[in-house]
This record gives sequence, structure tokens and C-alpha cells, in this order.
Amino acid sequence: MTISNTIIDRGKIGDVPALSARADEAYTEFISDTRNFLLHAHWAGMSKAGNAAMKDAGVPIEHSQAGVAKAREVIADHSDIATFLRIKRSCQEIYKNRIIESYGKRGEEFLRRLDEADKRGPGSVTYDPNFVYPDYATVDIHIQPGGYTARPLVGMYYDYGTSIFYGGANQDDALHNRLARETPLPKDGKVERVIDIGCSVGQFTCALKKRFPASEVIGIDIGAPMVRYAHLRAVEQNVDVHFAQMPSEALDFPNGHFDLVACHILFHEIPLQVIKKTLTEAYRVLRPGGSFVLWDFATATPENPGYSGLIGMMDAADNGEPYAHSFVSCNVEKLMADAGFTLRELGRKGMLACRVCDKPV
Amino acid sequence: MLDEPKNQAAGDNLDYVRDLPGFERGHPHYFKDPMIDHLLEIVMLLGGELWTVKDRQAVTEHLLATEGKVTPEMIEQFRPSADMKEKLARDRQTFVKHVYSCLYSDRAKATKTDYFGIVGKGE
Repeated sequence: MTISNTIIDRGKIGDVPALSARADEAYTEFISDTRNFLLHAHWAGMSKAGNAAMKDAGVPIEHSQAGVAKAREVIADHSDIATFLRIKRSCQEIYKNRIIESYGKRGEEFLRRLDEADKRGPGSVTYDPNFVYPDYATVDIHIQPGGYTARPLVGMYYDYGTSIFYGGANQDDALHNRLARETPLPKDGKVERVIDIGCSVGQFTCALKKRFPASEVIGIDIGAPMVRYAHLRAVEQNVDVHFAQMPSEALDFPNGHFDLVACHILFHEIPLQVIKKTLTEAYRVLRPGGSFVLWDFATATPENPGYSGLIGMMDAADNGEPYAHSFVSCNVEKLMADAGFTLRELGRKGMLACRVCDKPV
Repeated sequence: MLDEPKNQAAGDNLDYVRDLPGFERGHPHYFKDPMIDHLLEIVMLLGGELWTVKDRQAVTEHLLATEGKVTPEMIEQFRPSADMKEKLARDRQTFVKHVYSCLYSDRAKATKTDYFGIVGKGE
């Protein structure tokens, strides 16, 4: 609440438009610090405590509706874990709703900006206003109301929201820029065409363009609102990249078109069958000798269960991540080999792993 | 490697995804008495509202001290200096710790493995 209903353009914070009121900004900063203090700092400890509680109760961790229902009974007997999960869910809902409400105060203006940017360069954006989304893509991922496909301003919501999600660690796309800088080249070093599959709001796509300024860089995502905002964001940064609405499992490019196919945190958001088709497509559009780089969650192991533990299972259930478990539990390196790739490198950085593979010459 | 997930349909039939936990957002609660969930949510909401008031008060006092007047527009357009931003962040973090420190028992003490350890730092 403020003493005035004055709505003014408050400029930008980094690359993203500032929220419509100082009160909204202060509120989301509070949520970010609360997440850092009550969630991030306790994540490892709570994961261990959660898995131990399930073991003590003799309840196996099963990623199914029945398994989640049994886990809720165990959680209700452990106030620390219940508190952690309550705060986690509430923080997600509170900050997402606040962002929607805040940007909504200037909604028409932002929609006009998207419309104007559609026709501007550098770069371009293509999308189909009549696109029919497959069911799997209509989930409220991260409990974002409407998911990343339904609401026209969701790209902005996502962009602002990630600054809270990363707890201040991704200012000016620092994380994406670092990953792009660390992206290995094809063995012959030739990088003329690059595609970022599942590009979201284009943070990694633009980072790849900065890494490979002479290359043509394309970002595709199934969500029209995401590629439209990605383009607006790139236009405002004067980055010459091209965005297109396109499912990862049906890439509209010729065989052997790209030297480098990159994919950052998409695979845990799509069903296993779609992952397999996406790998087939990635292999098809890559030239012989080209490389495919996949950044995503590390594969679960008994020693390092990650998303296969209790906290991961509850994140899947209550944070709109229905496909994450099947990804961390599948042997994605084998799926890459099945698609024809040769695995060159597998590295782990915290929760994420980098898989680099080549298309044989 | 863990077991393959059991609930996968064959071929292209993706109907099974509708049954996966997380496909529907739901309205979960975690305590036996959902009222505790509601109260914790209210506590979070009120904490945020109180901080916005404290933030506004700090900005108002700053503007009065430096400009001699304050208007709603001045507050909305105000961008704190690096020093003030840092002080506000310190005050906010102290406020969060002061209000919420008692929520977890000793068993769930914070570890050094923070979020940066999970996703890796940026630049």
C-alpha cells in the first residue's frame, strides 16, 4: 500500500523493467532475502533431514501421487520440514503474484512495447498466434500462473522472478554469461551457426552471441510470450539474435545446419519421450563434427540423490516440476549415445551438470 | 543410477503426464492442521508488508533530510546510492533474521552449502 496511486516509469533494474511501485520492489527484495535465509541456507540440511525422516518412517520415496501423499503424512510429523516446505511454497506464490500485480499496473504499455519490438531489429522474432500447445507444455511450471505459455507478459514475470530465484547471484545475466564463456567449441573450432534450444527469455542466447559475435545465433522456445520478450530484451540490448516459437522436438531447420547446439535447463521441464525426440532433432540439425552442449540438473545417484530425494520430490509436486524426476533418473548420457552422439565431457557444477558431445564426422 | 521412473507411457502417448505429481498446481498444506500453514503464510505476507513500510519510511526520511520535501513521485523515482542500498539490504537482512530465526530447530541449522553451492556462482 502507498499513499498514492501514481504509476510512473521507474526505469530498469539491470535488463528488466523495474516494478511499477517502490513498495513492490521492496517487497520482492524482502522475499529474496527471506528465501536466502530460510531456504537456500538450509537446503542441504533439510534434504538430509527429509530423507532421514522418510527412512525412519519406513516410507520409500516414490515419485507418484500415492508416494507424495504418503510423504505428506511423514512431513506433517516433522515441523522443521513442514515449515521449510510451507515457506518455500508461500514465497513462490507471494513473489509471483506480486510481480504479476505490479507489472499489471502498466500492462497495456508493456503489451504495446512487445508489439512494437516484434517489428524491430536487430534480430527478429517469429511466432504463431494460433499455436496449439501440447498438454505437457501447459503446466504451471514453478507454479507460475498460466505457466510460460498462456500470459502475454510472462517473459517479463520470469525475467524479474529469476533475479529473486537466484538470490542476487545472476545480476546482468552473470550466470548465463559464464556458462556461455565455458561452452566448449566443436573440435575443429568452426562456429558459424548456433542454436539455443528452449531459450526462455534469451539470456543464454544473448550470452552465446556475445561469446560468438560473428556467428548467427538463434533461440527457440515453445512459448510465444517467452520468445517475444526475449526479442524485446535483445533489441533493447542491441544484440543481433533471432528468436522463434518452436517445440524442441520438431526443429524447423535443415539437416546439418548448425555447428553448435546448446540447451540450458530445458530437459528437466519436458517429458522423457520429448527429451528423446529433442535429442534426435538436435543430432539431425547438427553438422558432422558439430557439438551439442547440455546444461541441466546432474543425474541422480544413490550418494547424491538430488531431485530424487524428499525435498526434490516435493518440489516436483508443489512447484510445478512434473518431469524433473524422470530427467534426473534417466541416463541422459546413454540417451545421447542412442541418438548418435559421442560423449566428450561430463562435468558437474553444484546442482548442474554440463554434458558435451559431438556428432561423429 | 536410480531406477527408471515407473509411470511412463510407451510411444508418443503423453496422456500419463496429467497424473504426474506437479502437473496440477494444487493447494498443498504441510502441517496436520492446515491452519498452521495459513498462519505461516500470513506471517510471511505481513513480514513483507512491514518491510515495505520500513523501506518507505527510510526513503521518506532520506528525502526530507536531503531535499527538504517529499512527494509520492519522488519516492517512486528514488534510486538509493550504493551506500544507502547496502544499508537498506543490511537492515532488511537483519529484520528477516530477527523475525524468523526461531522457525527452525537446531537440527536444521544453516549449513555452509548455500544456494550458490547448488547452482554455481555467476561472474
